[in-house]
Amino acid sequence: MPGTLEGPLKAFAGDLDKCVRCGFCRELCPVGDLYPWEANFPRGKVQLLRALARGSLRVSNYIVDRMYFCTTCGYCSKRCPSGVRTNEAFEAARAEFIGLGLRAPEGHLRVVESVLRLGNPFGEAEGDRERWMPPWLRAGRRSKVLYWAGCMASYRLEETAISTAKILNAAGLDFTTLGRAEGDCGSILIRTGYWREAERLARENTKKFEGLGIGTLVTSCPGCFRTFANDYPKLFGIDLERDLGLEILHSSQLFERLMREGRIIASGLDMKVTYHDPCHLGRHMGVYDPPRNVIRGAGAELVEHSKSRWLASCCGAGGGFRSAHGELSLRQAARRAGQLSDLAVNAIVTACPFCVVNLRRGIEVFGSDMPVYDLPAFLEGATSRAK
Amino acid sequence: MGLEYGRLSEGLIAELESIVGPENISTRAEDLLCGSYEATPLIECKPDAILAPRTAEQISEILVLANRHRIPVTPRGAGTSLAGNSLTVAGGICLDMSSMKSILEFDGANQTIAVEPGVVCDTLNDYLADRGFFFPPDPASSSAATIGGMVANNSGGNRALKYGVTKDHVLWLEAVLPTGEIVRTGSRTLKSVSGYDLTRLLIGSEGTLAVITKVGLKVMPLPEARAVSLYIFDDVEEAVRTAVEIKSSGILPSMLEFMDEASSKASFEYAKMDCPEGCAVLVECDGWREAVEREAESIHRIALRRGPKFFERASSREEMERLISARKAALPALSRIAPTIFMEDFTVPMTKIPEAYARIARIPEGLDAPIGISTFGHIGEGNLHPNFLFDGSDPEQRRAFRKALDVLYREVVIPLGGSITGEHGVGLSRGDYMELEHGARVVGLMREIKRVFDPNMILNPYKAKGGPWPPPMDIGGPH
Repeated sequence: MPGTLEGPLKAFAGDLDKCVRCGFCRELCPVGDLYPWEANFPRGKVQLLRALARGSLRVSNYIVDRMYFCTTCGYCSKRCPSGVRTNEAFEAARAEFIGLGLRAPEGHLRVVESVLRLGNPFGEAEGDRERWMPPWLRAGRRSKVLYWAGCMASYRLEETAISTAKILNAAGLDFTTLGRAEGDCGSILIRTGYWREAERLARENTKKFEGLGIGTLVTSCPGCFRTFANDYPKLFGIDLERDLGLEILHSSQLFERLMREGRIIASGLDMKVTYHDPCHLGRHMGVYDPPRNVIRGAGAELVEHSKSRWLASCCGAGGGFRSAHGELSLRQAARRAGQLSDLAVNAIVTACPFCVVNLRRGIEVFGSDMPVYDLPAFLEGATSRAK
Repeated sequence: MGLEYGRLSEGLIAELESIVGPENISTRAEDLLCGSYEATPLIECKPDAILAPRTAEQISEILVLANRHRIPVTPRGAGTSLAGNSLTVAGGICLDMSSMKSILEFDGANQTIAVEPGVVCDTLNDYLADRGFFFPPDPASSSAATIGGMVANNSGGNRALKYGVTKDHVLWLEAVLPTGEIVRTGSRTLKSVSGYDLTRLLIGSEGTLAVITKVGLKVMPLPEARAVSLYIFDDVEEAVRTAVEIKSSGILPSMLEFMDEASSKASFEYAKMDCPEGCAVLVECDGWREAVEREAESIHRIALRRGPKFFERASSREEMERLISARKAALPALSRIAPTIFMEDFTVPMTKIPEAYARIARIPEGLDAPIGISTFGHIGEGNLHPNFLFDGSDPEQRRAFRKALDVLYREVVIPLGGSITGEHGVGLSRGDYMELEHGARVVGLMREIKRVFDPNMILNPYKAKGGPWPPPMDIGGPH
């Protein structure tokens, strides 16, 4: 096994050398806090990668496991005063290892294989992807907007997809979906290091978009959003904006715009809520205000937790962590749900179906019955009221 | 003088494993590497095993075993020390205390709290803030530093000017002696003078006398209001003199911080703050709203007389935190301009700060290799952190840095009546200068105290007050 790394990690050699080991990244690291062993914290991971790059350590299963023991929440990258792109380096390390012929740990591999075989991480039949679609919604129609529901909303949180479709329809938007042809965006493959396979998916998805005449691609899932908007151009040189003239939006951004234009009428939600920033929407994509504006626009009072915006704790579901470390992921979800439910609010709202599912499980474990809404379902409730 | 230690055999490792459980011990090369460093640059020392104990009883069993076989044991918190304090110089066992992180008992009426040593400072303050209290010591590393590490190093930080350092907030300790006995020092009461103050002796002992397993702290009510203001000056002397005047004016700010041009530039870049380049003075007042307003206004008048090119008063809690977090990030942010940053930590009487600063600025002139210096620090306490900026992979620059340290302590700090360390500790890097500050007899007393606690010298050997210190610190290149 080569000691010196020549794959995707090579681009991060300068970053690894910038680490002054201050340890600031230990703060809020969800996995380090669950299992406070230095090699689990970002600083430890950086030092391991640095040793690999210098050849003083060789790639081992233990190091591979450490790199996968991470929710890719991105807090450490934002926190690092030395400017080390920690999270990006860990994702690149995963790709480096896969490129060296190693395999992802078992739990991650299960979802990877499902994505490759069935186009979704849940082992579900491809045909069931459009199960959520109301009869009035036609897939694959030439339209201005393509709504990409994503795997989680299609298979596990249909309320998100259904509410989104209803809101867009009520706003008079000319939109369509890909229905059963939608498939996977590649996020899971990217996060788990299977970049070659992800690139193949990215090219297939690009072809799907080409024939539809769409100008806007809107996603429910922040993971899909990050993948289309950031990862495709950065990792594969596929710039949907430049190449296809596509505007890529997360649904919260589209809702905010439609509200501003008066095309979504929502009001009268007499409740106090707090908002949980999904890692991939907030820290990774910098989208903090649109979901908040939508919540306020619906008439609800927004109560902020001190750990919100870029400081928001992860729900524990990201980066394949939930699939691989179910129990630890749930503990993190319970902790985050507990933090939020300690506020004097009636509900938790977020803008990510993965976060919703994990936080709902977490809140149950925490012992609270506070409702957790994904933004579309929450907004749909307010629009129904406005009618 | 070297110390003789036993070898951590496979049999001993198996015994240790039976004490802490297989998931809490590692001898893997990868984990040993992760236990070989802290925030101190250039020095790395691998332990032979890392253990993450969960109870004082486990630690007692570990120490009995280690003492019997003369195996070095070095406790470690978050590994944010800056003087090699937790490095396992003689190998042996690294005792990672991060897993002992429970908040045990909060008593609002008596304003006390008991915690395990692995509780992180900011986590404790989040917990206390929800209840209307705070724990004042506030090191720059508060987001990671553990209470155990702070007690062991007697950490200070930004608010020491008004609230003192860690030792001023510790009521009692539970600790395990190197010979295995679990002892309790101090009292739950705010006043107690029965016997020698062993609590104070353990505080700042850098893990050389005992392993701290519980900490009883006194906490304070959160102040009603705070005001945080930033002043930037073109001229370093104007900035320093502004701080001296504020301190001498009869106002007691909760924070009075200084950053020279290079460190403020790096910090503000990190915090994405749009400030002009220059030397920064950061002041915080806290207390009753009306008092804070009056103090902030008085400070403003003093600062304006010195002609700052820029000033800003934070208008929200978020802005206050942003300014303070920029200051806290000064050290790691400097890594943006030099590959190696070695941070020093001296104190002098506040009025000697301008002279000290001027002498430090001249240090590079007498060196054979280019060494940069950027200084920031807790100017209100006369505690400056000159940061030596160089390339640690270059042997000539490393030698020049050694010389710079010598000049700093022998020609600046001690002649000006200062101390070689204000808050970071002696650790591995300042042992050479202990006699310079304290004289041979006092250092001898410290060594005798060490022998009383730790006859076999197994706890954190070669460190702090306990000596003996290794030959002049070997600053090797990175591994």
